[in-house]
Amino acid sequence: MDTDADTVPAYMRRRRHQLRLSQEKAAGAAGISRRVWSEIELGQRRGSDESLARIERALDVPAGSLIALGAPPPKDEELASIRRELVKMIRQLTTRGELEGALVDVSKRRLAALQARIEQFEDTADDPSTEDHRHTG
Amino acid sequence: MTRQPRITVTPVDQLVALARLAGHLLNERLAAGEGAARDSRPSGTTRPG
Repeated sequence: MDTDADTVPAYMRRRRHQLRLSQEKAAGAAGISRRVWSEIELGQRRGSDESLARIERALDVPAGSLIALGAPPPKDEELASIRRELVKMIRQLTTRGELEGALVDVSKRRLAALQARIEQFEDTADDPSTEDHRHTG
Repeated sequence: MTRQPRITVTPVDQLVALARLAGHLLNERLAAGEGAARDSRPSGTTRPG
């Protein structure tokens, strides 16, 4: 069973396999030791933000995305539910053979709907009249 | 040695980063699917429309 605690290790493993990289090559591309890569991928250590940023580059994924994947879920239930959907989608997209034909269109629509919901929250956050209600940390 | 201050990231920023990752992976899958479809077409044929 995947939980939030093993999201980063599981994602690293799936993405590395997707790119057909050995741990040795992936670690070399990231500029970290194979031992550190292995420990993070096995969930034996939580990588520093700097290590995770290096791993993001080695796995060719957008900056900040792996760090976000390892961050605790938001307290706000609405935001937490969007996060769960996005993590589920990311899991599907890195699982070989998971998406075929019409399912890709479904994923595109799901992602567009999730992005629209995130934009709603961003608009609320940009509104000075709601400044007092923003969560910090 | 001075420590780098940690960047404060809001929950919405985190969701934006995850959405960006999902979009990146989705585009990769679409590109791979298009590549496979192109490779499987007989030479000299073109996509309709």
